[in-house]
Amino acid sequence: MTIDRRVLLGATTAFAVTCALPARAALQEQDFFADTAQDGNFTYRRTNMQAIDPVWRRQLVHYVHQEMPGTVIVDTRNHFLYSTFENNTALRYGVGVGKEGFKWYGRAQVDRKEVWPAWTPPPEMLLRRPELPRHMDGGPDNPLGPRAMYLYRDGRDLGYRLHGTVEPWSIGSDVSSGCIRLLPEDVMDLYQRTPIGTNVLVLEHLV
Amino acid sequence: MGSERVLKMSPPAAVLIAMAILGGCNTTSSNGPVASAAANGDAAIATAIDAPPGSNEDFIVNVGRRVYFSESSAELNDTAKVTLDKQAAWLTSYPAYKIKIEGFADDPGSPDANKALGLRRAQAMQAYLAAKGVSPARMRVKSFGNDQVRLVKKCADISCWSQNRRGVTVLDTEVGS
Repeated sequence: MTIDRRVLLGATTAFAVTCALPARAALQEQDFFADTAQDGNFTYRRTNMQAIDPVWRRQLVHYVHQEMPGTVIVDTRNHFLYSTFENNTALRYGVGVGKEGFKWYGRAQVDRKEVWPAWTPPPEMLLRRPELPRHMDGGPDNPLGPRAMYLYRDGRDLGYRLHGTVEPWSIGSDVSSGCIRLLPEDVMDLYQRTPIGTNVLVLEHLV
Repeated sequence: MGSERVLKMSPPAAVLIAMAILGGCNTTSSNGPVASAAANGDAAIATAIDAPPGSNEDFIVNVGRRVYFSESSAELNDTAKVTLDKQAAWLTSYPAYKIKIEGFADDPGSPDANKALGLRRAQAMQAYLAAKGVSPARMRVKSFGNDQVRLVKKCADISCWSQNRRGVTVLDTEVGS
């Protein structure tokens, strides 16, 4: 089931479709959502997985790499995130990569995790989009979605996050803002598998 | 058989393997273009390992086998409870499975202390699952402590300890004790 174009109604986020696929009827924003579900104090919209290209769905893969198991590996170019196990297997997630997600690569550590995180847009984003709030509490309208994992290096916050999304159509794409976004179901799942101290390697990419 | 069950590969002949040849750890060093098939966008996309409902792979992908613990602690945090809730629901849906709960440690103290801690972790998980309706007859516990062969990651900092301080719920279809 492939998608070559996604029509957004009233959307403010620009994105690029990164693969050439046969023409299909355009999907609308609402096609990407299924029912609602409860998580903690919040009700959120679940993803209609049928609208998501199968390559972006969470799946177990055989993945040969040179890191130790227990490392999260982010391949921004190919829009994948791997939570690695022993025996060269990994759980692979589809990700959307925002502008900030391309700004940095290398090795970091998850020093902080939040459920329904608050969001403070960085200064350069506020310059581009002055209509954004200066601060947004956590909740189902918050672009970080239900979970965030914060990447630090030597105790310093890199400003780089693994987070959810309210735009499920953007998974597998490059988007104008944010870091590494996963479907809400997937970021909740990854959160379970990523204890504080987990090492994250963002693969070198051409900037 | 080891503590991790060997995963069944999907039936078709060729399993494509995504090679990630990494360009080094230092963010500021330049090792030239990353000589990785993945980096140029022509990656051989790894074939998914099938995870049919009720399978071991389903348990791994859609539930999660592992919970993690803080240093020297056998306490289940909120995140661990979320995973265990999902395990309990899945085990209730698939009552033919028994489970072996394996406790591990990589904590300060002697190997004996780590062995005891691993056992406390497994027991905490077992008690929680029992409270969620999983019959004790279906469960057994075992501690590997800080058995060096079974460490997920071996190094002297939290990036490794965090991965090793875990409890793993392993599906066990063997009949018997």
